Amino acid sequence: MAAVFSPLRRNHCLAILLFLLVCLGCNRPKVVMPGTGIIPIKAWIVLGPSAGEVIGSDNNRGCRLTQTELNAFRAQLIANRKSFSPSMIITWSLADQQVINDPSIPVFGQRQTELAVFVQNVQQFNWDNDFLNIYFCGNVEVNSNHVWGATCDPQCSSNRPYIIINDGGWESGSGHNSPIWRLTFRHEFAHYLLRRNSVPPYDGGEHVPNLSANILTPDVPRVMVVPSSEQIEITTRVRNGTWNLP
Amino acid sequence: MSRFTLFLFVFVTLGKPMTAWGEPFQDIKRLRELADRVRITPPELQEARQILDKLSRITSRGDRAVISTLFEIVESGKCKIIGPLALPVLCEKADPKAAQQIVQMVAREVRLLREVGSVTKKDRTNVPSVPLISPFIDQGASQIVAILEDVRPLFDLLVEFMACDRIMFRADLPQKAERLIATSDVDLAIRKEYALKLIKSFPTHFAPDRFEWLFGPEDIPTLRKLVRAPNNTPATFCWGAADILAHLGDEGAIPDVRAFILAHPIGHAPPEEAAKLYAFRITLQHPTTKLLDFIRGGVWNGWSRVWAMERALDYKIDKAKIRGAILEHAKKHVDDHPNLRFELYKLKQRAIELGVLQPNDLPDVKAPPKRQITP
Repeated sequence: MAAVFSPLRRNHCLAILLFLLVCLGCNRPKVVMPGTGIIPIKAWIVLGPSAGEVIGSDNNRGCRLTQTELNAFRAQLIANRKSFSPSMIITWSLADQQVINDPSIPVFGQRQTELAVFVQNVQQFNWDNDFLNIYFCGNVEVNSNHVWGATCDPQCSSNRPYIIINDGGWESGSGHNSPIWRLTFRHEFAHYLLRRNSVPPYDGGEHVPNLSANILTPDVPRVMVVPSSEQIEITTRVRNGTWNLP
Repeated sequence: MSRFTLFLFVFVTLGKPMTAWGEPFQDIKRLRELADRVRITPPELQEARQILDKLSRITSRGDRAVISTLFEIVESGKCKIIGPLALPVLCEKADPKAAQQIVQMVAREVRLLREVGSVTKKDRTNVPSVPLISPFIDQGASQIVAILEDVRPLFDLLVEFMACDRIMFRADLPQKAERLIATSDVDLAIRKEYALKLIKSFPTHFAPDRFEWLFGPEDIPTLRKLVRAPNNTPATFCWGAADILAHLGDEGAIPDVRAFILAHPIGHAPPEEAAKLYAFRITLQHPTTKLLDFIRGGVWNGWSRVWAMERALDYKIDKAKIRGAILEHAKKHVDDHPNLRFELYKLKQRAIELGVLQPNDLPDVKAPPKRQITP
């Protein structure tokens, strides 16, 4: 007994234990699991093709949002998570942010690219299975139309779900409408969590008419309420882990 | 006219509104009830949509009874849910007089919105005008533009709408307003006048889609003034005009635009490269055969191939030659750059519309995989 618990042996055991704990800590556990209520987010900051682009530059052909604006996106989503589901946890740290470049944006002229091209050139190569992937972009258009943001439905069988948020500068503007873009982000997040098309009582586009007390109004969502009926649905999906599945 | 015929005439004339409303009369009554409500349940919303769909199907444009009823519903319900929903059907059924009244009504809302100012003001959380303006720009305006006796009030409304805070609206609505000015079936001189007004109002913006096609060589002197002193400062230099001059192939614009780019770099492209990229479309037109060389080659330059094809048609280059250039590009060069496949798909679509390609040309060039996207 005395030999087993000698100081040397004890320290040896402790060292091994500590070593094991450090090794386990280095491998981020997969958190996308049913029943956890946890939604981990990975933010991709999509810059233009030129070497000189950095986060927050007004001259970027890609995303122009500053780090302060991105932090505000993060803070607001996390602070308002309970409005989506009482049991939801969002994890999103600076370590979960990565800068990438989109070669399909022209370096001069109209600052624009198409979603199909963005997915082909950028999104399919920059994706993390363990996370909800959010792409902060400049002006990714859908069939040549502007969108504030877009949520890809998981029923696209060849793609994982993701959200795109444009910076609001469109082809030529400044791109710092961040207070409203944070509202857009929450609107898209609601689409992502709800994940339905043509499900009554909403119209086929998942949006509800303006002036409805619902986060899914299509014009700038002044009303940021997630109604209780939808909160219940979101809570169920998050708990069952079905919110990211068809 | 015999008495019987007279009787029949009176019966039909008087009976027509009754017959027309015999079935939907209850629907209209119900629509009015729903329009008065501030809150509406989802089944009631569905019901209202069905009534509006039915009205759209069974009534004719110019039906005064329909117009008058819908006008009342829209005006009294504009700050509620059903009023804005009814606006597109009202526009669909409007006669010229009603169309003018609709424009006046929406123009008032746009003016109110401009007076309110930026949406970030803390003391304002609701903008009543937005729900009415949105369906008008989205659908209504295009339904009445062809029947308006005077289109200028509508175009004035669109220009004023473009100056509203864009972030209050669905993102593509300003584009719809621009496209209506660019492509509606309105006299070219009027469309050009308003296009010029818009590009002057937003000098730091590039020309909206299809604006360049409104202008011709006769407009070069006017456009050149917008890129020369005193309009050569960052606040006044008109990129829309520069874009249009490039489209027109104006070599005379190159020195002014180049000087501006070198003095005030934009983006992160080196100024010399940006100047060269600006001049690209101009140099492709001297001589015009360079347009075909570009189409058939493997260079990617900011989605310019569709433009080059349309410009080649403008120059009356033989469609068969243009077709040959497209097919050669597809066969030999489409994999020279990752963006060329998508550009070729867009080129094929437009080329078929314009009769340059046949529908069965390039059968392997297809739409990218469809993704369901929810904006």
